[in-house]
Amino acid sequence: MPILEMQKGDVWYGGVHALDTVDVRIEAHAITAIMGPNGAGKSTVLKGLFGLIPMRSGDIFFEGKKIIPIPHEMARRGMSCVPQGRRVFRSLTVEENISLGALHVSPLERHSRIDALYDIFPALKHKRKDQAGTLSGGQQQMLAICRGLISQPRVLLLDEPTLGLTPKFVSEIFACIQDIRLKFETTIVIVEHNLKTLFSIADYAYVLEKGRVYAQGKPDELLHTSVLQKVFLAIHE
Amino acid sequence: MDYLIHLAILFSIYAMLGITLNVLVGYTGLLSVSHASFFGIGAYGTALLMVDAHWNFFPALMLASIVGGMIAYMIGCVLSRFRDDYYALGSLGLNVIIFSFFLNLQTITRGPLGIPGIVRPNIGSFHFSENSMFLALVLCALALLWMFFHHVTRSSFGMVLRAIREDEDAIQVFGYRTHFFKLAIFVLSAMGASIAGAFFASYISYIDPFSFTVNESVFLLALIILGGLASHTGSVLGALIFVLLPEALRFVGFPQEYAAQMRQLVYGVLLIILVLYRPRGIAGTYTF
Repeated sequence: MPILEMQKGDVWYGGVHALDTVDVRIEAHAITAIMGPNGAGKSTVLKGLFGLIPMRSGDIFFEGKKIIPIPHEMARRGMSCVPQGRRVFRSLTVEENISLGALHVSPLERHSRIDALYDIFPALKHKRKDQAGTLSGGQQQMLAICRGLISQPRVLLLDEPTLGLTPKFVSEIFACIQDIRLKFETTIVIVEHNLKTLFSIADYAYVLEKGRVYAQGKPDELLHTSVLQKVFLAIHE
Repeated sequence: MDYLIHLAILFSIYAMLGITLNVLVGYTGLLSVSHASFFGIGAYGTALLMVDAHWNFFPALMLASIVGGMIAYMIGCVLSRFRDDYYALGSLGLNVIIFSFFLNLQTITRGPLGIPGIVRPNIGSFHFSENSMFLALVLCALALLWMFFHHVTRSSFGMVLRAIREDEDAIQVFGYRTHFFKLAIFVLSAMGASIAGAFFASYISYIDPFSFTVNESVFLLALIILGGLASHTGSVLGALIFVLLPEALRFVGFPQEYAAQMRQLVYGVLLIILVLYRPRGIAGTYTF
């Protein structure tokens, strides 16, 4: 049984049909990749799963139970979302930013969790008292992920975590994501453009095009088909 | 000396208003143009309880503050669903409505005639009738308000307020129901303004609706922008300048017939200079 599932998700942005009866199953403890060209509806799938946008029709299931996704309810169920564009609170310190991710955690427990997270993100440890706005893009992304992890979520949704980062930071972020899965056994759903690196860590992938699931399968299988060329390079026979 | 004490009392009352407004506008980023209405609710509540019901100042202050908080809660339930321009417009409307109540609810507020004969506080047989004693009392209240709101803004609650100011959508992703936080700080801010109103009524001994107009709310906004947003020190400095500046301008020697207009002009120029060259105000954390 999947931990999280979208069935026939249908989303409209005004007159634009962003998701058209999309089915997505997220297996527990796995890394699921959601890919596709710009405007394919990748981020919309994440937003729909977390309740950040209303679906016109379709259902969301959490641990097999049908739910109406509302962000604060999803957070309480053990889901965490790292939105696109990092969205750190620039005037707050690194530690304050991380603390904000832990709504229902006692201060003592929060401190011990922050220390544990600094083992995965050592670059942040030295900047714990610095304002988030002074960090580099890569460090801000690490902070955004760290903030998403402090609540020890069972499901972590990552929306384009390497967007705009240099190759060095891309590798670091992907290494951290793998580390998170190993250490915390977190289920991870990741929307990403960086196919090569993403395929090296993902267990399952969905390829979206024009708001529909164009293909799905294990990364190895997808790599040996022409699906990716068709979708990303628009090469059609 | 009495003149300086008088200025110090006014400064303390405006510093209270500045601190309580700054937690809303500066720390939380909610542009409220209704602070004068809660200032008025505190003043009217205290005045009515003291003059008509012969209550002691302190319980009257407490009840007026609670009433201010309750009214803020009722209005805030709607207002906290808004943000940015809509919040400002909603709060502006609130100030207009409450001013209309002060002006037209003549059976209670006596309308434009106002309420005279508001007495000074007393504890048993000890009366704060001397201005110096009243100053000591109002300074204590200012210190308490400062400490309380300092604690609020430094707490994890205050951290969420600052996050709301920066990116309300982002903080909601972590499960925070931001309208509760916005409502809570609106109520606390209103209660603080009501306390300032109680001291104002008792000090001036006469209140009428025209002390609590939208203009007064805009004046308070200017005060905290000048002093600095998200800074208690800034609120106090803003109050100091706005209370002392008109007095200083008395000695500039503007012709009598133009003096009032010239003072307004100086305020305006000062604000323009500040916006251009020091957008964070004197001690602010954020630009307006």
